[in-house]
Amino acid sequence: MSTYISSHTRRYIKGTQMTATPTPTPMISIWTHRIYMALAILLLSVSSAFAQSDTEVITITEGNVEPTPIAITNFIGPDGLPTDIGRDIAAIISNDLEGSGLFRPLSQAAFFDPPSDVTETPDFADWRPIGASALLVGRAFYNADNMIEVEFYLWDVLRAELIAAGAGSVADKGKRRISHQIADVVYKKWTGDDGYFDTRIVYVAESGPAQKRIKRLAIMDQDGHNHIYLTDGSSLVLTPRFSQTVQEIAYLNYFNDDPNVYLLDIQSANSELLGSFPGMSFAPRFSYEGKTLIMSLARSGVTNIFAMDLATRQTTQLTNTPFIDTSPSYSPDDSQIVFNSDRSGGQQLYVMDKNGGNVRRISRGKGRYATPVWSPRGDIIAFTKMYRGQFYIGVMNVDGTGERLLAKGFLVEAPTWAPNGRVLMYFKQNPTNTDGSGGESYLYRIDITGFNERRIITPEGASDPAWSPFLP
Amino acid sequence: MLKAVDFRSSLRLSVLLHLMVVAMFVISLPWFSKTPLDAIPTLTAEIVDIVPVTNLNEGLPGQTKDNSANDAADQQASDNTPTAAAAPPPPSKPAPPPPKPDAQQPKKPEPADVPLPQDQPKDNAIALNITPDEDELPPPEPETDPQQSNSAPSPVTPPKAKPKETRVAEVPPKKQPKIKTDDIASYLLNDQNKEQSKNELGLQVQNLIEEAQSPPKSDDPDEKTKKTEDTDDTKTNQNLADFLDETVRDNVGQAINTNNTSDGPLGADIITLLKAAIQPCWNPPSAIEGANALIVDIIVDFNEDGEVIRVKFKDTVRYTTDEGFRLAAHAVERAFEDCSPFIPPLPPEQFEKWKTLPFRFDPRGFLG
Repeated sequence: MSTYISSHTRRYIKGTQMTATPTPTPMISIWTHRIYMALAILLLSVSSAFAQSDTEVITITEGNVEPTPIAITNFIGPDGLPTDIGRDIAAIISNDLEGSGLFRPLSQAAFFDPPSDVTETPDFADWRPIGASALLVGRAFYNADNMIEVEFYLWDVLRAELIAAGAGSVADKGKRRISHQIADVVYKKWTGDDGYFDTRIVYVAESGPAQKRIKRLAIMDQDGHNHIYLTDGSSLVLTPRFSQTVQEIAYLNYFNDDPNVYLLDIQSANSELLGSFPGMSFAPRFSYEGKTLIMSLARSGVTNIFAMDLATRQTTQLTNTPFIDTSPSYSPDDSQIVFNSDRSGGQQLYVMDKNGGNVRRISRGKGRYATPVWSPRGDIIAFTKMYRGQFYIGVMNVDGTGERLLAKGFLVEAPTWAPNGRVLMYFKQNPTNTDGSGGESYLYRIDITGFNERRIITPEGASDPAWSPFLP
Repeated sequence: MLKAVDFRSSLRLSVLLHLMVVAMFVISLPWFSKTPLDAIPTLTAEIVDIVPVTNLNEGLPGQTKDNSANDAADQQASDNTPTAAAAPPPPSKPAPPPPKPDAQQPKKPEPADVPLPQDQPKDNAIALNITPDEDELPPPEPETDPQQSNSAPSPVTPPKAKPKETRVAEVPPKKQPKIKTDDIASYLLNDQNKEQSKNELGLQVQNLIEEAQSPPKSDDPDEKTKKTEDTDDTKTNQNLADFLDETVRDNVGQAINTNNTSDGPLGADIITLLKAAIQPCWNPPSAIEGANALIVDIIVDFNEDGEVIRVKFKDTVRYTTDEGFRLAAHAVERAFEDCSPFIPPLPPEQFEKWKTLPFRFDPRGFLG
């Protein structure tokens, strides 16, 4: 094609050169000239379009953000038939992925011919008609030592490719956890982001009448299973926070009506008073490297932020104002701290360096801001906002721009990040009475896009959740 | 003299116009600004990422001795009601309070203050033992075939090799019919071609040629005289006119035929059809950080049935080095696999136009 055009281009040039001979020549017929003019215009149009045909790019700017349809078969045993443990594992994985909002497990009733040998490439023609984009198959059975043997394969049905595979064994008690781990692998390999299924939640379990409210620390898997109480409810507890590096929880304990920050070792269940200070210590939060605990100390109506070296128990005062500075939270690199303060009149969010310097206000919107939490990704900060009688959970960039509100309610508060920085959990109370009383508070999680809000089932009322890091 | 001046003026105009046409040809030629399509290699390598076996083979730390709470939780997994939720046992006696803090010397509470569930299962102060008990969790035995030994985890082996599906199979390019373009008048005056030609410009040219070929209908004697005078001049330049006529005929005829049969531009209707068909099938990775910046450029080859026979990614380096981009590219590939052939189908009579198409998938608009 290009050669053709080039040759004719040369001929065309040659022709025009001939017309430039100095010999006097008669005028060309007016009709012929008109034809040439018209043809030239036509040629111009056609040639432009022609040249464009090879380079015109069809730009697709709209897409589909629906959950990925995934077929999860019951894991089978050595005989190629589904096993009870295989059904349980498939159900746990399915529940995890469905709960993320990014996957849509297909009904097993639609499966045409689940494979009896998971090591073979599946017949994708069996899975495309039911709309599956992904296929997870696997084996799970008890071996002679009564251990659960697990093996799985994740396939891209449309591209006919193996995406991931893995295997492992676990004692019977680890059934749920290994299932969460497989779900994490599927999530990671398909979305490119880390999963959050093999994690736990610590929170404050609430029960009893408002006048004699019992608040206990409780811990559970992120899906609400394996629920265990950590304290007995004899004293009020608040604001539990996970360490990012060790199996410890910092929390506020009103033991003998003396509120102080305690450390709880999850493995041994030992609690330890974290220093003794005049006044009240509260709002603890671990640094990401785990060596420092930052918290607020209130005394004589003034609240400032202190950092404690967990090895030496030495404290460093970071703010020194006559106001209320509280709810500190480290950035993932521990170089900065976000907190809220009423130094400008109402509660607003501020960021300072880890040594307390370079304080600058970041929240600029209407209303009051509280409980800021820096995302593990480092790019945004979650917060609670109060405006015109409503509570909101929102996120903003670390410089305060790009504020987005994700959830609202009569009382929504205390956001906590999943370790992948994509999901937030918080508690919400919907009052049953017009004066705002009544109604339990429960835990909810929501995607940072503002979609897929889901309640986490807990035995009773729940508040103050804290998401664990990835489990070791 | 006046005629000569008029001629030169017309000639200059003609030359200028022709030069403009030539310039537009050259400027708009694709190889001056775009990478030749043939220079973009086709990806044929399979990307299979095997999860490290150690991810799961190490067993599960934190799962140890029997724990009544854990047992109950597992048993009640089906109704998603944790054990403690179902029936948290009332404490047989008030739970030991945490130690009273000593202002001078903080005291660590005794472990017995928060008894372990297995020791005092009726006490609602329960500890979670995460420490793995190696006696309870024997390490995996040496790798054997679980179907034979049924005792140890087997290493993950890639599934049995199966030839990749023929979706990327090469299809010999259909031979493009060559249409003679020697005589533009005969083409344009052909009744059948007239009916087929919906091109407005083509029709305009056709009318002009018809007008040129028909004798003047004017009865004006002055005009007849002028025509007689012009006849000699025209004869004098017949060679030049013939040459120009032939040149223009060849160019335009070829361009028109090309536009109608092979590589002409896609009509708006086809582009609209393609967008409407592909957009519902394109599910880009939204969870990954920076997903909105993962713009994917591809070239797609279709067969005559509208099925995708090959997808070529332009940025092959990024495809192999950037996992996020690779996921985005896979999502694009799945869009075509899932939705082609398109409904409604692409017009088969214009196959030459859409058999190879470049696409850009830009998620910035809807992923924020």
